[in-house]
Amino acid sequence: MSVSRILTIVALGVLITISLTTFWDLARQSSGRTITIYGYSAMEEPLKNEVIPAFQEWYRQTHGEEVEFVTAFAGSGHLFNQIRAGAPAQVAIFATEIEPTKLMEDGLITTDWRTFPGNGTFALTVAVILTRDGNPENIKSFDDLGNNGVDVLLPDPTTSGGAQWAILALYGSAFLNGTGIPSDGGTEPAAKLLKRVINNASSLPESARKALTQFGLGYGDALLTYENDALVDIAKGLDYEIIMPQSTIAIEPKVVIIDANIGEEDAALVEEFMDFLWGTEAQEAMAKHHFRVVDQTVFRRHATNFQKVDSPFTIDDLGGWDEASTQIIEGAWREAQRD
Amino acid sequence: MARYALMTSGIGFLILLIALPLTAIFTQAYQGGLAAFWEAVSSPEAVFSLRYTLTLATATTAINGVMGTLVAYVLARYEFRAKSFIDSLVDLPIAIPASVTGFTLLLLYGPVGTIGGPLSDAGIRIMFSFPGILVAHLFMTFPYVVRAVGPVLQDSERGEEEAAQTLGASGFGVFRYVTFPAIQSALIVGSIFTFARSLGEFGATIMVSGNLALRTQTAPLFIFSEFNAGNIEAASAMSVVLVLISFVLFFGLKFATGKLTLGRALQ
Repeated sequence: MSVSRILTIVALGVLITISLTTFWDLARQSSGRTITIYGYSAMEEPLKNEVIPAFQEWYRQTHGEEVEFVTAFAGSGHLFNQIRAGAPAQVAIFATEIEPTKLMEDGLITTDWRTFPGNGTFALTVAVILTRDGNPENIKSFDDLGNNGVDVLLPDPTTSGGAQWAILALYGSAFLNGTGIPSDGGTEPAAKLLKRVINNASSLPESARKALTQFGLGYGDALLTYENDALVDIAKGLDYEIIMPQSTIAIEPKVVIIDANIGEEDAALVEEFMDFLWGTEAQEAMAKHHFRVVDQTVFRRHATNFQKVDSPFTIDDLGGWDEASTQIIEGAWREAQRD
Repeated sequence: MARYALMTSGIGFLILLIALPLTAIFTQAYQGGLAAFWEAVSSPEAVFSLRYTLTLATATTAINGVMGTLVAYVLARYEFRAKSFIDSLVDLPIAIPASVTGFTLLLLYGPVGTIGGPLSDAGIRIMFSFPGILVAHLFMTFPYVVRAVGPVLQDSERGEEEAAQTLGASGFGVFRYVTFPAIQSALIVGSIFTFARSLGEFGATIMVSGNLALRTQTAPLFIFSEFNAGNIEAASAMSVVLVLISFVLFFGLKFATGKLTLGRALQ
């Protein structure tokens, strides 16, 4: 037998073995209790490293059973498309309320997340600006992102929830004047700021995490991002500076249950997991991962890790999600992009 | 003189275009040392994604090896209406954006799709599981075997097959002893290209796989996720593994077939 024939047979043998064992493992996996969670990108570390292991431990001690978690993390828009196309998510955490609202219209969600504690929010963050060490472009406010020559990185609002929040932060900072009261000029200054910022944008990555990675690779002078993501990188020892604008938006991610994907046998388990998210253990874990948690006792323990926001505003100050998504994200932003 | 000028510009271009970025990946991956590299590629998620990818590539190659040969045979041996139309269909997967393939399959096989609807009522889910990804890979890699085997079949004399038949060989006998030896090398070339293309498939896979770690995450998706999450070391380490596998494949190709390349097979 020739050498090449022996090599071919060995290679085929290896590949067939790998294939069969992989199928075997996949077949074995599907037994037992499982929860499938889809989360927007910033949820990956706190959930995978802390919340999920803590819940598994709690469940083992309470029920004497193992729970397996299947997870997928990506930009909110991507998650939404996948779930709508039939992905098996049972619990999903979205950066905004736009996606869950559409899933509810599609009938995949029947339990209103607004009936959960905190209207479905178990941990918050705010929109901030991340600059290089020493803030060489001297950026102090959202308005400064529109200055000539500032290279701004911001994710793409069509796929990224973080980008939608970033746009609302920009828009709201100009529209509400940092006072919570709409500015005299109406929406004009806000629309102008969006226009100036998009002219400065050098890249629109599809998720907030990818934008952060690009920033880490040296692209851009300033990044509009989540405070928690910015703090993760600062904690890693990266030479960035967080600029907290005088006025910024409170970012409220929503955790929802995708009722269509929950069988009777899983309902109790999913409910217990949902309750766990608002419990002390999960709240501590989220705070450790730089989220401003909703449990005030836990938050106070970590309060020194967060900069104070002088005048925060919320999505309600911009008229709620329905109005904000049509008027600002689909309206003002698109217009700014076009001309 | 001209020879050196041509060689320098040709090889220089190749180095700049292909070797340099690949070297950069290797440097990135080894930045934390061999221990960090090993840690990155031996995490359960990394190991699973690699096994999953190899399994997919194997299954894809096996199916398209057989079906591709069959289609090539039909196109080379039979005359029928709309043959040139069918023939052009074969090449489409090369031109269609992978994302288009991905979402088309997603819609077709999804809970509201023509095929997916009835299946999903029956409790069968194709997308976000192995069969769905396999379908996408079969689609994306279909042309390679057909286009490698086709020309060889066209060149080879139908007469030999007929002679064997006249001498009393069965249909299978003709294929086993006459047709197969003629196309063997081309089939290997096509299969290796199919395997390699499947190994690196990303655009359609990200759409149909659901990107579930330890379930449906292929190695290219693992790289994408790790890069997005800022774990550039892990992303680079897995890239190195895929680059090495591909290199071995194509090097093995030369070894197994002597001078034959896809370029010639495609003529």
